[in-house]
Amino acid sequence: MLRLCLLAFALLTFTCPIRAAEPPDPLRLLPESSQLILKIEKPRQLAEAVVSLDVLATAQQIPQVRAVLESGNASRALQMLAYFERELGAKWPELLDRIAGGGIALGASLGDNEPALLVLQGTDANESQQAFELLVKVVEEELTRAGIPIKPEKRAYKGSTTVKLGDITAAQVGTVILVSNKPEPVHSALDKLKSGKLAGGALTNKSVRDARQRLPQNPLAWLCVDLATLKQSQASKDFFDATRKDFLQTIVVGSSIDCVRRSDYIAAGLFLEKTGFRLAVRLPAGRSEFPPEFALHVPPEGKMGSLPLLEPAGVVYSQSFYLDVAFMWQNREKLLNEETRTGLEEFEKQVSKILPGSVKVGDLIESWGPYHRLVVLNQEKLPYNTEPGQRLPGFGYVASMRDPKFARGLEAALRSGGVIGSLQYAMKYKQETFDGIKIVGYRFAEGKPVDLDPDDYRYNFEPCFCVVDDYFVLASSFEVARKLIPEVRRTAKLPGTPAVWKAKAYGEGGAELLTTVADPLITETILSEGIGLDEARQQVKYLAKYVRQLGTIRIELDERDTEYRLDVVWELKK
Amino acid sequence: MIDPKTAWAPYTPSAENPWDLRKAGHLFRRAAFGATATELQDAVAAGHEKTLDRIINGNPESADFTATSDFMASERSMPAGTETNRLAAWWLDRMLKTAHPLREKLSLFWHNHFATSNSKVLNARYMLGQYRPIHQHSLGSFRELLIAMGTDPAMLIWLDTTQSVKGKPNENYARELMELFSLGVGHYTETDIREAAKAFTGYEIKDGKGILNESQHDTSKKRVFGQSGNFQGQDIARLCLAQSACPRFLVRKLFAFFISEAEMPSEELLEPLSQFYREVEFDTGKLVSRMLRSNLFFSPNVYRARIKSPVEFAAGIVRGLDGRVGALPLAESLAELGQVLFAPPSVKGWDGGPAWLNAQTLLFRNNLALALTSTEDTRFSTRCDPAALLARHARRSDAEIVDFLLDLFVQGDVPDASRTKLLDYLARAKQTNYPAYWAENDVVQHRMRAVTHLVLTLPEFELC
Repeated sequence: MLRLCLLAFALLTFTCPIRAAEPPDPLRLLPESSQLILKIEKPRQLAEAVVSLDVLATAQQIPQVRAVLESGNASRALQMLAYFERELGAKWPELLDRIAGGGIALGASLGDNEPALLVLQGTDANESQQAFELLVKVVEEELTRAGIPIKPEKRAYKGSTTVKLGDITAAQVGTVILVSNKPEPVHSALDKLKSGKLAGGALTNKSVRDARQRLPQNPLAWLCVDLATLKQSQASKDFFDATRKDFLQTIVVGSSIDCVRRSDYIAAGLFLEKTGFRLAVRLPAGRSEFPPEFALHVPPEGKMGSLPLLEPAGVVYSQSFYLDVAFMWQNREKLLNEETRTGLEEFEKQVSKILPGSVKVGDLIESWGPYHRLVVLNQEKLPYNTEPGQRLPGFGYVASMRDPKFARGLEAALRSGGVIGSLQYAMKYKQETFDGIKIVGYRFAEGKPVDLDPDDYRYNFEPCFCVVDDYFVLASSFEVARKLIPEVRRTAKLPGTPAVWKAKAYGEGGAELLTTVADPLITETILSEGIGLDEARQQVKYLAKYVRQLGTIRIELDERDTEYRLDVVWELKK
Repeated sequence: MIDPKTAWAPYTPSAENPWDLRKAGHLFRRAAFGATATELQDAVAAGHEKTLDRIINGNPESADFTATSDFMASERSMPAGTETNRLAAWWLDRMLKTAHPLREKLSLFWHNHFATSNSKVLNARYMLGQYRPIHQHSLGSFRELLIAMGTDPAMLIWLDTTQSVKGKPNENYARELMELFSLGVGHYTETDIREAAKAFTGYEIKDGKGILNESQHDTSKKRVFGQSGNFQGQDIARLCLAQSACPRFLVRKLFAFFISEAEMPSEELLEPLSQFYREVEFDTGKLVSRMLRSNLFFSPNVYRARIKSPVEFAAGIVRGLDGRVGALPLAESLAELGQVLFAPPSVKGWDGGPAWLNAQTLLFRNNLALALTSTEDTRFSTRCDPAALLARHARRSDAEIVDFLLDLFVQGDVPDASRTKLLDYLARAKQTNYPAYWAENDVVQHRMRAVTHLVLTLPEFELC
């Protein structure tokens, strides 16, 4: 009976699924005061996600990439990997799981020669030990081979052994491997390991905890930069002050920098999504505490952040954002420093000279809407019979209007500009109607050299403009304007998004652009690789095909009430 | 002691003075940009006359070479605003791949003679435009080349001729025409320059070409070298060509370029060539042919009597290793070595000679040699791999490897001690403990690449 009971116990023990204990968090071993924390939660998952990308496999066929992979250093790195696999008896994904399956964490203080500690939390003590010893051996052999007179020194520390190699100190204890540029962080981590505590270290850092919670679930890797201490430095204070005083920086990145200024940390995470990857950046500060003058960056409560992106045929890049120029103009006394104001007043005077009498600069700016869209696109046809020295893509700008007088004023201003252009560059007036919309523009005279444009870039452009409902459209050519008119109408029916700034780059359009402007790229390929014309042409074709596979990259900036969100999303082509 | 009577007589091989690898190497260094092992072996086998004919006349360029070079030089590939490094790379690519290296080498000589820099011209189209007549006439008529330079757009900008108008002549071009392009100091007067400058008034650039705008041209009578007339630019060039100092001046410069920069040749030594140059109406090809075929060219006095320019140094490595490297990273490296094509430092060109070498440029030369041979530099990767070359030529033992490399790069022309040191290195390298993950072949190839690098750092390799 007793035997039967023991047998039953043994069977239960070995057959029941037992959940293996989760390895402890490597963050516990990083100094609590670390200003930069990087953690790869599941190294194997991250590596496999990257390695399994089709675009990565295809990239290896690109001759330039192949050249790098075939170079001595790269091929040796691959050999070293194969050696580790051979010696440790497993393929790299499995090894990664055993040596760092509990995560890889890096903690550092920012600044020159500040301490940094790398922790690899493994799942198999035996494997960690073998890998560590093998690594020390390989490094020693490499140093000997290179004639560098540095030898690994084994040192005892409270019953543990550390290895010192030049400035680097490393140790392996159980399932943990530690590497640092200073001995102290390693010693401190060894003390913690000896104490057996599973908490403490960077886990108790409030910013780190908050940062992790602010990010979405299941990141492949994430990062936290502790700004609280960094902001105390005089250099940081000077930076924020200088930025605030700089007109251009205020316009472009003023709100972002203000959010950084008010945040105790920056959190960023890399995520695997169904269609690709997402890099999410989060700050615990938002628009609710913006100074009033920052209304130029964010819409009033309840209004959309930005209009839908324009995506006409052949689009390469599209951008949509909110910027209330009229608000800035009305509040220039508060927003701008004296120097900038004086410059602006001078600008107003100069521009007024060429504007028709009925148009005032202030009226023009105040009737300018806060929603802006830019688009870069491929053109199907060149606007002229004369080929430009270099073909450039077309581009367009679409502005919302607060008042139709914006269009009337700008039209008058552009016509004045056109008259000056026609005198200086022999430009000719052109007008056409497309889909009920009048497009007005100017063409350069052909066959007349212009000293300022020896490469004939001007033959890419026939600047023109038109008004589509509540939007003013400025285009680099009539073809671009014709493509934008239906697109403006289409997107007018779509809802906007809360993001105040967004942009998207398109692999398909980029590939088309590469084909259009292939000549300089082919030349670059010949000169970089020493190959002939036919081979270079093939390579550039291959590159264009590769770029087409890249899909799209989208960036969105959403400044919420109490949170700043920046997302970069790479959507791979299916 | 050089005997002027026999110096320029054609070299004839003899038992005491045979045509051998050293002479073939010497010829390829001076009249080309180095040679591959196969070219050297073929040259020795073919004999000196056939080899000289081959070097001087060149082979027709391949269709791929012409199509590639023309494509790159098109306005769409290289617009006016193209960076100088890219221009330099375009030319380097030609130097590395041409079937007629002597023509490119002479082009380099004339580029340094009519030294014009894109740093001031700021127009790649004009710089490429200047290369065309230089290349066309490099082995042809200096007369036509000199006249062409007078209306060359790059030169018009470089020496401010475009600003020279009736009543306000600019003397720059007239001065350099006499001092640097045709006669040399001491063979003209300040009055000659002032008068000649009037002949160069009114030149301007229209539709990319240099033209004479009659309305801005000084049509008054000018007196230059004792002759009077309503001269224009080309007339002044012809007057310079008619001076006895002109062929002497050019022959002296060509002597330093092809024969020796280590010693000042006597007037007596150069006179036969000066006379010859005039007799053949400044046909540079005929003059260079005579120089290269001469006893003096193959005499011990002039052997390794020049220091390689950075272009000769780099191209010599790439050609020697049968490499196919990108000219752009190579051109960028040459900037560190002190030679940017299409951008000589001044109107006098590069100083050349010992000025090429100093502690820094020597270090950069060694670094470039390492980058080209190690296969670890991603700019060049495995495109110039000594191990692959040695494998192609089936050189395996240490002695075979060392002798092959010494023959290839310095034609065995090193002291025994150097050879022994190289062999010692290879022997020591065998004892080195290489990382365990290195395959046996990695170790072998690494030794080959490292010893090639050592050969390229020998002092003899710095000499041309």
